[in-house]
Amino acid sequence: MKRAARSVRWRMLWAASAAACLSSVGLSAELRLPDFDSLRAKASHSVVISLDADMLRLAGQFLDPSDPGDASARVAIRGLKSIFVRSFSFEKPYQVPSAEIATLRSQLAAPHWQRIVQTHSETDHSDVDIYLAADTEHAQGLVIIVSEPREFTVVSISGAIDLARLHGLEGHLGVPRLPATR
Amino acid sequence: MNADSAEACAASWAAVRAGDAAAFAGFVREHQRMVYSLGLRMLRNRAAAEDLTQEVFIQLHERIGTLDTAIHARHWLRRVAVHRAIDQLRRRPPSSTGDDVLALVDEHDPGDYLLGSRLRALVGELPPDPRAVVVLRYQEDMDPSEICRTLDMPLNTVKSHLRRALAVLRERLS
Amino acid sequence: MTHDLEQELRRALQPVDPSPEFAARLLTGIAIARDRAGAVRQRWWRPTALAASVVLAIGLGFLVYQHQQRERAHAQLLEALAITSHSLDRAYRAVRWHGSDTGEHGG
Repeated sequence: MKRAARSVRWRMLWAASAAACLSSVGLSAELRLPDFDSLRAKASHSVVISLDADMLRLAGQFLDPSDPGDASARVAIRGLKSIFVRSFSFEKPYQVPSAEIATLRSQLAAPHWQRIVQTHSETDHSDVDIYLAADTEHAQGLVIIVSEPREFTVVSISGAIDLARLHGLEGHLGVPRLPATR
Repeated sequence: MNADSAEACAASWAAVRAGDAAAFAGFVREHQRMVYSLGLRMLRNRAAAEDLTQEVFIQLHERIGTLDTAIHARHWLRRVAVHRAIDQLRRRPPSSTGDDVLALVDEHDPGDYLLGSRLRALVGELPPDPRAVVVLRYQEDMDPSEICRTLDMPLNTVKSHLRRALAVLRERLS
Repeated sequence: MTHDLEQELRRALQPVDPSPEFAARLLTGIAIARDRAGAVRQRWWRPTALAASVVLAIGLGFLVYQHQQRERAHAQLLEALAITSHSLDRAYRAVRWHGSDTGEHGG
């Protein structure tokens, strides 16, 4: 019962966000991420991916519809205009300086962006923020910021976003599903 | 490799390139274990691994003239074997022949039977690309930069696959 | 634990020999393929085929480049989607966890 109630609250949160009528979504919902060169220098492992519309189209040509992972990816990227990922892992706990992400946060302060999720955990000292730029029917821009002691990840996606499809991808792609941390 | 053995290796490869059948047979015998094992770990099926091994060496025979050294040929064998296996897994994964017989062949220490068998099964459940990374890393002892060249995969992707695969294996073992 | 796991993986994935029967079949199969290839090479049209293959190689070189670009984009796409899905999952679990603690959702 309690799980169902939480699930309902989660769905309401998504639905409310997607239904938010933001007439100023005519402003760009694409948030291009900087390369975070100073974080790359400190990280033991970096993932920097920038897929604009042309690159998404190129990558989509290589997706094999008979492969389950590729088929899931093909559905997920339908309507997307760009995907930017910056993910950094550190050998030792590292507090990302606020100056590093100040530009990012200032862009997300624009009216057409709404922070729909903001969580902080004292247990593992992690923060997860999700921002959405949406019209009346679809999310048009999505930014996820995950900050943990040894990892910092920012994902920025623009286009017609289906959150449920993106959430369900892990484990179906050519990257193994990660173990739950809780 | 000392100077004498390097010279012998070069002479042997020159004979292979010159069309010496016995030299080529020697090269096949020296490397069939590596190719077969890559096929077996990737495809988890003995018959499929044997077919793949045969195809790879036939293809090698056709390409001998383009491979300058035996080391070059070994890298080529590894690369082609893994790519063929990945392609086959994506098209139509062969059914696993099970690990009982494999275990009897593989394990010299009966005490490791269960863990080794379980690990091989878990590796065989990974998607094709991470599976290839794990097999190249731990069967062939290749480092990520060598793996990325073999698989034509960005280095960061190789490292991600490796990191996540180990996390999955660790979780499933526990 | 990582070091032990890696050691166990090395042990579990040690190369193995194919059966002796297969090894013999392999050499026979290669010999048959070699004979067939030799017969083909004796065909009269070989010089023409060689010339055509040069032209083809140039075009193929470009196609190989394009193929490599697509492969790279494909690999990046899959990784980007995996990280996105995992990040969303982190957020979902964080909200659910927070909800179980306080009875309210996060944010």
